[in-house]
Amino acid sequence: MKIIASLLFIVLLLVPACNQKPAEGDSGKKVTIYTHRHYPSDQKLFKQFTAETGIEVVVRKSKANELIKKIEIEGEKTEADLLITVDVGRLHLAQNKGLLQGVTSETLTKNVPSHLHHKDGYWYALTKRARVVVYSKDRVKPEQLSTYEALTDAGWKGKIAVRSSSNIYNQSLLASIIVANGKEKALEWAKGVVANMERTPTGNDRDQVKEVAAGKADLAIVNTYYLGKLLNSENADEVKAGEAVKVFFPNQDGRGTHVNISGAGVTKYAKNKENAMKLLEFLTSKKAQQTFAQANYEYPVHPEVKPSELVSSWGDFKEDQVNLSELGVNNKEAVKTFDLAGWK
Amino acid sequence: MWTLTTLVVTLLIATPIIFILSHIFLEPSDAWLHIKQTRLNEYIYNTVTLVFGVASLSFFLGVVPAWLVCVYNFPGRKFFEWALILPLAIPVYIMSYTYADMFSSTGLIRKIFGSDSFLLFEFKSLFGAIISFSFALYPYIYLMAKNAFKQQSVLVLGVSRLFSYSHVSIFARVALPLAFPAISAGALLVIMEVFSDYGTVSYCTTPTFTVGIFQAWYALEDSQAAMRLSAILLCPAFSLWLLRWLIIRNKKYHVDSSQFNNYRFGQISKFSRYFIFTMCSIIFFFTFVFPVGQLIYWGCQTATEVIDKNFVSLAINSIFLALSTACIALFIAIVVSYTVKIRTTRMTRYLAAISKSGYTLPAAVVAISAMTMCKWFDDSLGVLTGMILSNTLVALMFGYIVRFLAVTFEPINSGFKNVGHTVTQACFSLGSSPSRTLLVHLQMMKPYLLSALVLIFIDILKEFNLTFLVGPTFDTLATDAYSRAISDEAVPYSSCSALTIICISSFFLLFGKISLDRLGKKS
Repeated sequence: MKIIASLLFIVLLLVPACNQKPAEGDSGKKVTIYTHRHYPSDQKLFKQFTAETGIEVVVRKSKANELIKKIEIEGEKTEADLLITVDVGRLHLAQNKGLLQGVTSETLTKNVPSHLHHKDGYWYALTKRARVVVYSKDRVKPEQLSTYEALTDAGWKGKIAVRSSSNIYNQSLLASIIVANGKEKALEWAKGVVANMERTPTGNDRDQVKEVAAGKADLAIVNTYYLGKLLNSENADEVKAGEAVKVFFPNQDGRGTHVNISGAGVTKYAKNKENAMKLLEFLTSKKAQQTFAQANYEYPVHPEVKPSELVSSWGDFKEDQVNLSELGVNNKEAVKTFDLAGWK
Repeated sequence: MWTLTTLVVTLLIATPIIFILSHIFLEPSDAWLHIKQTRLNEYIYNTVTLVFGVASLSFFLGVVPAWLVCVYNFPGRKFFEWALILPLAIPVYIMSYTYADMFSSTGLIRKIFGSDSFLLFEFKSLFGAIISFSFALYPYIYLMAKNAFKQQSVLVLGVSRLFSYSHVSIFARVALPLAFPAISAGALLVIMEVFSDYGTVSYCTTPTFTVGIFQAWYALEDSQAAMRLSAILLCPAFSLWLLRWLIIRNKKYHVDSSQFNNYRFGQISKFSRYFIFTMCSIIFFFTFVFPVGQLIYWGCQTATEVIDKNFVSLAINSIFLALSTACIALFIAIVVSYTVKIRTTRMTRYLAAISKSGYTLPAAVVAISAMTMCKWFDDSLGVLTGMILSNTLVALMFGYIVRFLAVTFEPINSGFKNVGHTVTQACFSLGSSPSRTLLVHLQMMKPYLLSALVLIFIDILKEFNLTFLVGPTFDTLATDAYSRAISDEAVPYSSCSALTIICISSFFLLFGKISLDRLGKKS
């Protein structure tokens, strides 16, 4: 009896102890976000927001697809007011499933340029990420590089490092190529890159840069902010790896470099719509945009905010002006194309 | 009464799994056809190779040291006996990230041996995945094997000696077959964990069947196809359990519980002693000291930025949550196993088997079906618009139990077996009620209860996906480590959380060990 009794006693003791759910009731002072962004700098911004407005920010973190499924299951009862993802494809998916609502305000349209938000306000970009080519300082001259398409040239055989096709950043890049060149050309491109790969894709973006620095590959396709993080790493070797490469912005004479966004949309059944909009306005405001730019090396979306010094040092570039929704529409096609091309 | 309670409880736990199984009958979708055409073979090949590789390597890492610490006296035997359990405290994905970084071009190995060293190899591969899983999971096999070897009758081994069998052939021909039920149970736990993993295999780009599930769901936007694939994933797991049951069903595995002294071979040569010592040291070094050392180095670098007052509440949350859920799960497992023992009905046995299979499923899939059930419960209450069960701790604990119950079953079952039928029969013939009889049993199987509790506690402490999705919005050590290591690609910053998980788990393992020793002395 003693064992069972003590077990039950422990349980009774512990349940309330870890039940630290924020007090309900004053819903006027609360906003719940479901976010795929797990950066410590975001937490600081939410704290700032609470300090300024008195609105408490409740954060649920997970992957975008799982969060979208959760909102779908919860239906009208969902706690989510704002969904934040790290790519436009997921926002498009959520919108397609009828989980978001269109919102607009003067501040929002002023903060976010028109090509970086949905035309009916279903989602707004918070930051931009450019997917660029980084090349070895020693072995490659920038003149040898031109476009994403040129990466399939036979001269790069065995010299390109890039991560797996299950990664959303690669999927968006291919989606942009599908939009620009059509499905067949995109498949050819993917096959061409696979033929030029230095190894079976593995690891994350940082690992690709390290591969170039170690001399195993000459080029890598990566998001810019990971290079920023390498260059500011605690590990001196990682800094060295970051310094061994340079950034090249492809397709400058054509459609421009592929840019994806991290963005947010207000959920359809948001209980705190007003607060969600306030948070959205705050996150796109000059001050918050500066934090995004400085802390995470992403490109700010606010027209008046400059990228961090390091990011600016890579130079200005022409962005692919493709309608971002198109990337969402073509995401599934991109995944299938990768599979057909044998891009692991 | 017992049957009814067990039926209700197991039914409740089996429901999310039955919900997933129900998808097997859905029409195949586009996503499924696409996967079948393009990548299914690769998924199956990787899964089979990985399972085979991990099972073999962790069998070796688990069984051999278990045998050595049980029958030989060598320097450090007492230390290794419990130290070799410690790698269980390291989450598999942390193991793979740490090793991958150490062997990368900016890692420790390059620093020591230079960039041309043959030791620098691409860790993020099928081989690396096998290493990560085996290093982090072999203690399951080690634990079960060690318990089994300890219980083996002194007489059997003594008789084998009389027939002048060599040490090796006693191990291979007598001890190993006798320990088969326990070792195979451990191996199955390891295999199920390999089936359910997503993080490690996708980092190592060894796409297994589970990656296919997520490919269907995430990339092809078809969560139905994902559920269908998960249901299919349950089949090999079921078949393996079935196979094991078929093998052991007709054999009597006699446990000689009257003999507590375990058998030791006489003095062995000095060389053998040091050979065994070196081997155990190497295993312990590579599976625990080496990765933990790297984590400690990172922890020192990043602690000032990561550790604040929130970090403490993170740790407290995690411990309380894992401990209370572990207690509930233990309670459920006791009731279910006991009922199956005293009231053998088919229904209860099947449900108990189904409720074990949650361990094979990826956590995100368990999360979906747990969320769907909670929503359904809330909706059927209807009147209120709010959420009663969804996003509460109860829902989260439910999810954990659905996923991890399997871990507790094995120690508890062997506990009941070990107490023996004679005790049960004696109790009942003396007119004791079932609940009193249960108490008598529990008193006699404390070590098993404790090991079940510690195992599930550690598993819950390491889990992040369910915590993210099912429960109230709060962070635990595991969600923190995951967010930093995988989402932010900043492995060094996850080291503080990872180390705290490892410390807490190690503490519990040690605590388990000490109280076991004390129990042993009393008896």
